[in-house]
Amino acid sequence: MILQLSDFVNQVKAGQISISENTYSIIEEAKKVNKKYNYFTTICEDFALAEAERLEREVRKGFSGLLLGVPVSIKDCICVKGVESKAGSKILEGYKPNFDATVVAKVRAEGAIIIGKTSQDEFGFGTFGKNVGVDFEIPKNPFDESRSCGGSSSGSAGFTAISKHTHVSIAESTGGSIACPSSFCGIVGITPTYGRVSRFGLIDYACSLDKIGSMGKNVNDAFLLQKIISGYDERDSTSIRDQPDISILKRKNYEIAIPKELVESDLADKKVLDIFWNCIHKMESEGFSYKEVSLPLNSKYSIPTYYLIAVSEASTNLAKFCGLRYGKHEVLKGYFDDYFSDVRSNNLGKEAKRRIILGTFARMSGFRDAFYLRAMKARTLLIDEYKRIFSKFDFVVHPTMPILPPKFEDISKFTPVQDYFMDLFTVPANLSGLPHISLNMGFVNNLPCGIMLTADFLRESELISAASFLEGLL
Amino acid sequence: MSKIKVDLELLEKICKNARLRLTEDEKKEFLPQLQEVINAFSVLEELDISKTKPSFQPIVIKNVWREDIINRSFSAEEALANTVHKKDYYFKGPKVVK
Amino acid sequence: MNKVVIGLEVHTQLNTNSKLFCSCSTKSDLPNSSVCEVCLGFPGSKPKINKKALDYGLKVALALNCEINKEFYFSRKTYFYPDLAKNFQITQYEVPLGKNGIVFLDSGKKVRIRRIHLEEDPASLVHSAGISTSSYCLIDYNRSGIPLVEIVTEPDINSPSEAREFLNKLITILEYLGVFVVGESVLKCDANISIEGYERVEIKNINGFKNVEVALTYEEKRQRELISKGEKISRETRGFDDKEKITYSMRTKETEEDYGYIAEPDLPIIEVSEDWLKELKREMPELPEQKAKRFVEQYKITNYDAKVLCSNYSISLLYEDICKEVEPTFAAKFVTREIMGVLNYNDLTLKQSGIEAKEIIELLRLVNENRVSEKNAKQALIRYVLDKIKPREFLAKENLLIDKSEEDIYNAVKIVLANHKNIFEDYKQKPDKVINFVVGQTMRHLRGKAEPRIVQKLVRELLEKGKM
Ligand SMILES: [Mg+2]
Ligand SMILES: [Zn+2]
Repeated sequence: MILQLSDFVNQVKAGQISISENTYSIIEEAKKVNKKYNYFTTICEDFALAEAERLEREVRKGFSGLLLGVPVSIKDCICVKGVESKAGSKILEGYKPNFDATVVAKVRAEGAIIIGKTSQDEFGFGTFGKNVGVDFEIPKNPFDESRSCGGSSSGSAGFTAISKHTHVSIAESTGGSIACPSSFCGIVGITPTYGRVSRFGLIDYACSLDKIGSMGKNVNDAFLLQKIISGYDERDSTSIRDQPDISILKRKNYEIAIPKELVESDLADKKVLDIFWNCIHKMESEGFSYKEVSLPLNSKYSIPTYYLIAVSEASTNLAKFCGLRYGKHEVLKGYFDDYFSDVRSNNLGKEAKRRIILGTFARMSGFRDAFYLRAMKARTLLIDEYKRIFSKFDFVVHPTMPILPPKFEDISKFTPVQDYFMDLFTVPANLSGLPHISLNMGFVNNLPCGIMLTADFLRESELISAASFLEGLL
Repeated sequence: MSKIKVDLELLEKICKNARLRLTEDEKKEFLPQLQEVINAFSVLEELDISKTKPSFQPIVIKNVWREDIINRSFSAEEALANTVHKKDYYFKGPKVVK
Repeated sequence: MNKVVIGLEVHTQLNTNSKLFCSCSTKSDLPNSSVCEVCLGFPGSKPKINKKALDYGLKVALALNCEINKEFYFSRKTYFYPDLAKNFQITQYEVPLGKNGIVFLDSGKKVRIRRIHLEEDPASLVHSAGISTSSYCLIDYNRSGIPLVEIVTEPDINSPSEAREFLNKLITILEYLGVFVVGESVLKCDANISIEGYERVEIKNINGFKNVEVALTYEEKRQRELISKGEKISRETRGFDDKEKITYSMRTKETEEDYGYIAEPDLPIIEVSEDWLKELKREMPELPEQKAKRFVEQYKITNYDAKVLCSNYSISLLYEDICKEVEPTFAAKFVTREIMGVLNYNDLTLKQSGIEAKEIIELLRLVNENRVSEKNAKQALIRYVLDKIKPREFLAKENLLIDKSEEDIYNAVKIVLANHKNIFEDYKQKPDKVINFVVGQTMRHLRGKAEPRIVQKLVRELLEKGKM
């Protein structure tokens, strides 16, 4: 029996669980699991054990916290002071930030133990966890090793699903990187409103899209972590100052919109849709009402809009990686142009190169107006479309991913365009910065399958409350 | 814009801007892929954006700033802790003159 | 002869305590001692803008008669260089904070300001063994992230000396605004220069405003020579070598970087409300032209003197301090002729000279009381500036202080005249010779500590009186 987070903390407080023993035990598990599944880029054994001992001393002096002794894993792109933070890329090998990301500082202040950095598509550039950096291992689905565990927060989802311990993970989503792996690994993933969680300490993919969120085995675990990491932070200029608290509300008969274009899409697996409708009818019989709606703009234009903005920003964010100041260094020789080009060409993975190339193209003079700028304006139209839906409905609901976790051999056959269009279900909410949650709605051939609820800006409480109710129902 | 032809010259120009050196195999692989993506993404030209303002962030955020106050900086040792290329408290970089 | 057409892009540092996007100090001594994750561009860092820099930028725009954009934002200008912490510079592109301004030259000519924007300074590069031979560079990020204001003119300038005049005017305005400290703040300039009808050349990174005229003069001559030889002027970017005082080719148009601007996604847009603008206008200091006008009215000095005094901010402050104790027209004369003369001759700023108002006031009081000759007063000023000896001390040490009153001199002349019986008769014959003789005798009697002018005056008076 794996304890829920709040029960775990209560037992730690009651002295029924030893923080050190539990930390040791989960680290051993992580090391063992990692050999087969590659969920961690760094397991910080010494750091975690020392932290556990320190915490025990603090507890004896009266310290307590909402995450007392809770093992937390952190996506590799989120900085932990003194711990190698690479965003899954060889080019950041050796980078040990001299500061904690705000979210890391927050969970540590509540007594969490950081156990390691989780594997991801390099810089978040992927849907299937397959686009790992040079010399990194591909994370595998906990239900079937030949399949993807989703990306880009692959390790966070995989380990949350497989661990026999109480454990939550801090993940990050730009275009669906929390929801997708949550769906493929059968866990709960919360992606908050853009700006609700500080991005200070996040190694950027695309700054106007990146959101740090939470993953847990159940809605309550993910909710508690999300509540702790949320809040205004003066070190992130895009952090929202006035945000309502996140809490579980009294049950209500919510009104749901189901986007026609998605559930009728050619991409969608019939088996996924069957479970989905099953789930919707259960909700209906419990008092929820639903209606099919049309999202003509988002279903057609969100993918190009999202990718053009994302790669334009990413290609500038990645410019700083050049073998100077931090990260991977090579022998200092030659003219700077050649040195920079060598370091970048040798240490960036294929998809990173592809996205840098596309992003550099999209903002090049002559193409910039038609691609980058047009996408920035298109985003306004796409947000407006969602706003119209939320003037009538509480949530937009659809399967998290159109497909079940795919086999790696099948993924290899996708062209980049096919790859990108696989994000059709998760990208619209992410592009508009809307909060969403993915939770497991059932299994097909022993493979998990997620349902995704999206709410209006800052309506995390409604979202999580509905998800909590739905979790009990399924 | 759907008529953009991605040729080797354009690809090489992009790579030069981005300080990436592609292998011949990579060039061969990326060229049709880039063409395919650009074709697919050119669908945006259907949208009438003539009266639309760009969304810099998904939510409108304005006037966030800090006061002109000095706070703690790193020590030179801290600043240089992540690099092997350093000398006399300076970062060492590649040369800027050919 | 075809006109030379010049446009300037001036970058000057804004005098803030902390950097543009982080709270590191703008002042530092040891290399890489005023740096943090933001100005080093460490992964995970985020910029946050300095409100003071925004205020300063907007004030510069107002002072240069610009329109303020009510909503503006920042952009990333991407190019690779070891001095650029992120390999992009946060600057402003489509919508700068100000546009369409004007600066008037003395001739009444307008130099239009195209735009004004804020941006961050790159780091400084040190070349351990000369720029061309060293196999690596050394980088100090203390400068990285220092706030700069970039001021871009239209190509309205038609000679290197006009460029110098424009820059002088600009710096004076910046100094009045308190955003720029002469001798401390850094000024860099890019200049576009062409001979009307021919290709344009850009000269990058001219350091210090005095070099701008030198670089432009060289470049104008170079281009005119090429034209007279019938050779082509190529569209290119040139550098300025401030040791050799020449420009040299850096790159041609074809090899220029494509900056790929995008909006800086880590920074929200800035909206300038009416209240904010009102506040800024309320805080605007008196600018050079307004001050000159006031000087004419308040101190009854000439337009010319007022203009000269106000063309240098610290001089205008010194003048007003002096006027508290000294008659204004007399003070104006001394400041514009003597003090500004000494500074110009020795190429010093007022601050460098160490001149203090109270010392000048004392000196001028001595002059007024006829206790020092004007010649000696000027000498005292020079020693004060060059040797840091206070004027009064200098005059006392050199025995140049006149400690005789007019009465003492009167008595001395009487004695001299009494000692020479036929003096009045001689005076009728050879007046000039006798005057000189009596003055000399009187000065000897007073051991030189008398104002010669007064001695002269009294000798004349008494001789005239006596001859009748
Ligand atoms: Mg500039
Ligand atoms: Zn700094």
